[in-house]
Amino acid sequence: MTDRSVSRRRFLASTSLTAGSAVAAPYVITSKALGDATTPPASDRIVMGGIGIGNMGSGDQGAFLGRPDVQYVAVCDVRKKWRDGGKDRVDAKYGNKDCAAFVDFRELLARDDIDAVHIATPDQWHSVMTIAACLAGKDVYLQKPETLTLREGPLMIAAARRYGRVVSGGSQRVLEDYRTIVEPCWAGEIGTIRSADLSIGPPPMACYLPGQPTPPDIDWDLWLGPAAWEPYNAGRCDGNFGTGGNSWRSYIDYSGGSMTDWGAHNFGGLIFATNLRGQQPAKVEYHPRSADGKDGAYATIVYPTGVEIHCNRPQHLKPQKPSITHERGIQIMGDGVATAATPVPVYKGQGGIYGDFIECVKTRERPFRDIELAVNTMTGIHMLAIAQRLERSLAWDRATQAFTGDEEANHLLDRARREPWII
Amino acid sequence: MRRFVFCFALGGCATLGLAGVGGAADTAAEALARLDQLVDANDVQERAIAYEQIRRGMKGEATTARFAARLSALPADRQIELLRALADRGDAAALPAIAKLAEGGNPAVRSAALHAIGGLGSGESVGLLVKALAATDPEKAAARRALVILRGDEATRQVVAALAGAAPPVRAQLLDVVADRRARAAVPDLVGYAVDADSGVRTAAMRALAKLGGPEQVPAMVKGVLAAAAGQERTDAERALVTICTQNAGHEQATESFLTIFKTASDADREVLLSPLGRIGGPGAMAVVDALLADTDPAKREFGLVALTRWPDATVAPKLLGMVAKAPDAATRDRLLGALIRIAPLPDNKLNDKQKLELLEQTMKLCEKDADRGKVIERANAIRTVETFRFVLPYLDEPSLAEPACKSVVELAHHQKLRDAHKDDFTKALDKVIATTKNPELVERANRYKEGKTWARK
Amino acid sequence: MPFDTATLDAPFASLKAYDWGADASAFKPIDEAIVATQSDAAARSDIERRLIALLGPDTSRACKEYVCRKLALIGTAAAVPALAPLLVDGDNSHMARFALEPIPGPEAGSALRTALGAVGGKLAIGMLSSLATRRDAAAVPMIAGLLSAGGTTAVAAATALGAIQTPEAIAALAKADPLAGDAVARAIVDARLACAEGLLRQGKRAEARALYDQLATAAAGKPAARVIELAATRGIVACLDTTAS
Repeated sequence: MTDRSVSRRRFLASTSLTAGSAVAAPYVITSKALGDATTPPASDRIVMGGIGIGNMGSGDQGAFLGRPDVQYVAVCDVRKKWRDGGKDRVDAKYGNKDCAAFVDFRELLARDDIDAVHIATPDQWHSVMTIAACLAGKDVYLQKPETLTLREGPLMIAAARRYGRVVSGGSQRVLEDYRTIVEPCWAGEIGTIRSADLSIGPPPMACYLPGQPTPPDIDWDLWLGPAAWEPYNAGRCDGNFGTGGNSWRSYIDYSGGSMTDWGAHNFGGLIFATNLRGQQPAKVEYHPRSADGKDGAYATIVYPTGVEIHCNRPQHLKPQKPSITHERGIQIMGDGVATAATPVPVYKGQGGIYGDFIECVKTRERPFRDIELAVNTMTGIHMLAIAQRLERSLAWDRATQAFTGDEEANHLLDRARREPWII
Repeated sequence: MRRFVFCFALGGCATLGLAGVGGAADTAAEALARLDQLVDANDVQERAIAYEQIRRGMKGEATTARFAARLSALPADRQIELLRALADRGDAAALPAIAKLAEGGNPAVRSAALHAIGGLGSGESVGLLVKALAATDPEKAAARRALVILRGDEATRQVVAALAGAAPPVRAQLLDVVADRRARAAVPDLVGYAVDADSGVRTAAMRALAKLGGPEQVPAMVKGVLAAAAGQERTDAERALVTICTQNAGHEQATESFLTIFKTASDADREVLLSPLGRIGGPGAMAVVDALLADTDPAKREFGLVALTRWPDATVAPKLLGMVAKAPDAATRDRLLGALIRIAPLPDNKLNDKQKLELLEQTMKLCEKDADRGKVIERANAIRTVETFRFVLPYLDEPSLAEPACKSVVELAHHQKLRDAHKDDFTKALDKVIATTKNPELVERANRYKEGKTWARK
Repeated sequence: MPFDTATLDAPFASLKAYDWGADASAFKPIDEAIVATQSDAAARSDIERRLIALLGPDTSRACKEYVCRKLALIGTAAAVPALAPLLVDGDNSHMARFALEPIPGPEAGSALRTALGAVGGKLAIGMLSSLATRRDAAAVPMIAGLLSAGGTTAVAAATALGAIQTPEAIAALAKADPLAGDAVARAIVDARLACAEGLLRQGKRAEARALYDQLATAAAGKPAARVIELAATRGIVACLDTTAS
């Protein structure tokens, strides 16, 4: 591990890599360098910083900060209260005032002593920051939903692979919450999986909130980043977990709504159980509301192997005796002919998904929720969202990362980023 | 910092020097030569390039054999890295070289090799891995994990076959392995171990049967419960039996089987089996309990009471409420109240939220001691409704009950939808919690919820 | 039955007067109509025409933003003339690109290129971003010229060429010194690596290898260029793997 970051530090000493301004930051020597019985010496610790230290980010920060093999040195948030809170936690942990605090993530990424970052910003930032971090030679733990648009995923994967970066998505639930369906499916007990049903939340809303005076403790332009300029409103940028209109997770410019937020977990858990994580769907079939109005519209995600995942299918259309169910609205049908067991992938290292990431930073292996698997997950959900929005079926060409024969749907592959952000 | 050491060494690094210019026929040879160089590099990032290719690229046994052959001559830390890459590559052609390292002199290398064998091996690898179960961690853990992930039915057969001759600690681990392999076909081979002479083996057998078993295994599992030593082993054995009778496929038949055994058991055995009887619950068990409660023998009535207070759901609530009023002594009354407090908010769909809270309110009225009232208030937070919040709120002002009330308010506030729907009320209540509680964690949580933040349970 | 666009008169009237904070439910029928008319070209055309009419100076920024979001989905070449002037307007440039970026055909690309020649600073980066997403080959000469502009514009120009990946783009990138040691050089290297990956994906193994070899050779033995050397090595190894699908 000790030679881990040599080269990029040499190279990056004087460069900053995004289209935004290049900023030189002072090199900070961390304290507690020598380590003790339970803490490795500083030279063997992963040096980390966090970008987006609000609700989820502070939780991620706590998880990394608590690890003896991590030296946490910097926080970045466009809101002062989160930034100060994040710095205070780090300083309290180490008993000093060394934690750097940045408003602009580019300044944090310019620090060549940092090995890895965790990112927990609103979703419009995920691709820009992840790609910039990879270019800057950082490994990345990225909160889910990892992508906001379909175009972003392949670019994020390419950046990770190009620079040999470890980029982990951030759904801890996929492995931890769905064991009751994962284990029997991978053990081959329900046979070849044919179909599944899934409850998934609604897509995001458009935001029409009025403007409010921008408080002095937020850099509003940086909060919006690549998203369209809109006037400040507390309900637009509140960082809670709601998707009903009182947080950024509710709105289409910053989030895929509950559909991607919980979808990253629930759809992610289902396609992990059914071993579809390595694939991307071939199509989404849209089923409109029934003529008599009794059955609501629903959609079916179809994989190249023929497995169908019905999303929010009316109850009476579901198999009455599914092979296996999960309390979060999942049921899976197999053909009942037992198949050979396959070992279930697990986290590496110790400490859940955070430990998995850190272990991979050390070994340079791919993490449990490697960015490619995360992107595959999000691709299915984005396809579903677009099919529902357009109320029609769509076919997907993985090779070209585009919908087949539907120009209008392809208009929704991405959205123009507000200047100066480019990926 | 040490990480700068290699900066200068890299300047002349042969691995990355001028590119090769060979034609198509030489491509494969050039690829292998480059990977060889990268495997030998000092920089972990260079080695990672090689390992990535070994994991996912350069298909074919020849490549596997090439790098497997390199294993023996590498230093230990590099052996481990390459072992992990070859394991992920998934080509069994590497097995012979890996097996040698599994019996080599370096424990860390042995662990990595054992782990790799799990991914690549078959039934033939079981003997080696079982032998390693007798070692210490991390080797033991690696061997155990390897036995779990070894592919194929033959591997399962070999693991089961190894049970008979294994020393008790290894046998117990093998039983867990069989369970983790979800080897249901092996269940008939496991039941005998539920009454093994060794308590660790008995416990592991019951654990495995709970995971894999069904109604057919109930007689053997009852024997396991009876054979278990009183204390933790007995508790664990009971839990296994209850799982079979309440959760696994065929649990209704399993319960029937258990009741049949219970009815014909000796008094001594029935005394032991009362606890699982209460935990299994259901109408059949209730009939047995009713008969016991009506018995003239005080000892049998006590059996009935034990079973009743351990009931798994709220269906016994009316019976318990009635018995509280007629409790012959304070101790019995306490046990009945304790049972009511426990079962009221159970998430078993027997009661809706309104009914659950009503039951707790009824129980509250029967409580005569603050300690019991406090338990009611604290238990209420399992019912995540605004009505519960309103039920708990007044107790913040009662000094003797304020602490459990604080805890319940904070627990309810943890649920964001509930909190956001009644934001002002929760904010006031959380302020009161902050001013009242002596528990610093509750203060921290209350402050976080007020700010709209979440809190991760430790 | 054809969609009766007259039912949208009132919603469009509300939209025309819209500003942030006003009741947006009044023009929800427009959203619904856009979905309902997916097979009704005449109605679609009418809706597009009405939307375009709201891009003039007499509507608010909020109204234009809404219009641009809708045109991003259903816009055609007919919308380009009304969107083009907004590209050079600081307040509306982004949303004009939001609408133009997915509109197929040469008109949208032409408008973006024209605007690129007329603006500087952040707005130019915006044009580069959209031209990159569109992989606008015709823009390569203009973009190549901006590689020497320095600063963030040159960085964005390099990124755009790395997305467009035509032989001309690759040639333009090859002219720059990959080891200049600044952010622009770093972005140029990144773009060249992206181009090499594109070639490899297309099965042009030898051409990809040549790009990687150039970078590896330039970076060999130079500690400051270690990242380039490593990235090029990854690429070379990938080129050598003839078993890859």
